[in-house]
Amino acid sequence: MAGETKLSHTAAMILQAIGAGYVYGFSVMEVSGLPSGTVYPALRRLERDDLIRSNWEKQSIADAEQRPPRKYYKLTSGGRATLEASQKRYPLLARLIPEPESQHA
Amino acid sequence: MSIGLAIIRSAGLLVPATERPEWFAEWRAELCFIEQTRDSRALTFSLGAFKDAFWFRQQCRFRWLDSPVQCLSFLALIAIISLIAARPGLSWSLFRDAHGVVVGKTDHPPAGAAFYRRIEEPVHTWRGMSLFAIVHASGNLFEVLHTPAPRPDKKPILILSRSLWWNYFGGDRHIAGRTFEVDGRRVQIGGMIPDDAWPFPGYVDAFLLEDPLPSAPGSFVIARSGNIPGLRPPPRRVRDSMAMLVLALLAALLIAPATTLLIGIRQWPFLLAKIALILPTTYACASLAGICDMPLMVVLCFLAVCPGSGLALGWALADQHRRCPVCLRLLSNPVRFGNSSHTFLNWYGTELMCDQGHGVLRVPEIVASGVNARQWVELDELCLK
Repeated sequence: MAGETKLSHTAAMILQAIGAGYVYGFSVMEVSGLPSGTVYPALRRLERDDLIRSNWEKQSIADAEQRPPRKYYKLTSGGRATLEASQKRYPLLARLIPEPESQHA
Repeated sequence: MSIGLAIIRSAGLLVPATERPEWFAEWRAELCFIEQTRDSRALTFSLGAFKDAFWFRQQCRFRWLDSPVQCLSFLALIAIISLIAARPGLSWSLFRDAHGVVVGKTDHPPAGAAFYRRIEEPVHTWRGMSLFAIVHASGNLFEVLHTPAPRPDKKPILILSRSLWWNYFGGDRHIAGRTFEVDGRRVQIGGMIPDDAWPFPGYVDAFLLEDPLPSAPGSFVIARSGNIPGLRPPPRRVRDSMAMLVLALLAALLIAPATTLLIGIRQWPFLLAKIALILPTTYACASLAGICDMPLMVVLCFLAVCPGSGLALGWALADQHRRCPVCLRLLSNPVRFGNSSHTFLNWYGTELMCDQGHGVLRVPEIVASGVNARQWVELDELCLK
């Protein structure tokens, strides 16, 4: 496909983690085993390339847990398409970080 | 304030001010969450903030150098500026009229020879009194050098170099005919000639031409004849510059082992183009040394040019290793894998990615015997593994 974004295995793994529902930076770290110094810059790059977008969680949720609101990430439509292409490129990706449907299956 | 928060605050100083509040809020929120759950990992988590902050800082760098075309254009621009700046000292222009000229000291000068001696004289200009390097020569000096210039009639005349005319006389177009005191005498300005008209080492501000030249000890003879005892062709500064270039190349070769062999054959033309554009800059800087009269300045210029040239050529080599062998753009997105203390027998190092998606460069942290220092993996190969 022309203009398809090719990702390294690491970036694809982070995209897969977000697609699988691990929407916070720290949860991506936990599920991927990558250090914070790798995950956060990668999240910035993915956001810069419009593959993910970030939002702040509601203040009420944060207040209930007595902590500041956290930033969470979601796949964009472009990110979803890139993730599908990356899953074909790296067949083991889905097994490393299963999607929520696969987890329940 | 916890140690983790202090680390994040410190790292935040690297983030551009406009991005800092949101960046800090995100890291602080994550740290609070971790501290609520697992205290032990908070410190290692916080240290990652520095890499994230560096990423922000890297976004501000000159991204236009990433492209090979723009990199070469930048080097070409530097080369052009250097050549223009060092124009007075460039040998190829300085020696354009010096072919066949012999210079030296002799008691039996041939017919038609010119004579000169260098003097340093204070001259009063509109900017005040300044010390100028003046060549006191016989009236036929420029005839011998095959350079068009006015010849003195009965009174001595002063020919200014273009730089002197421009810098000290404000580029006054009506300066010819005015008089100045030089060497204790009032002399008339006869005109102005280009800076590169003097084909011998040493920069000259002005020429005092006089017929006949009063005999003075230490005068040099310039002639266009061949075999005359005591007269030799002038030392060509181009040889000095070439010597500097050779030393610079040797310095680059000393740096080269620190890098590894080039990965792809496509990189060679790009590397050669970079070196070809660095060499004129080096040559121009080396030529500046020839302008200096003081031996100390020449030595200082020499010492500055050689390591500088070596570093520039070393950079050209090192830059190759940071580029994608397919599109020659700079690799980015470094990701560090593994932990040397935990995975002694496993591969650990840094992985760099081509922005165009051509592949990944794996650079090991420690080069072990029997293992490639660095490995380029095409993304299509990667997915087959």
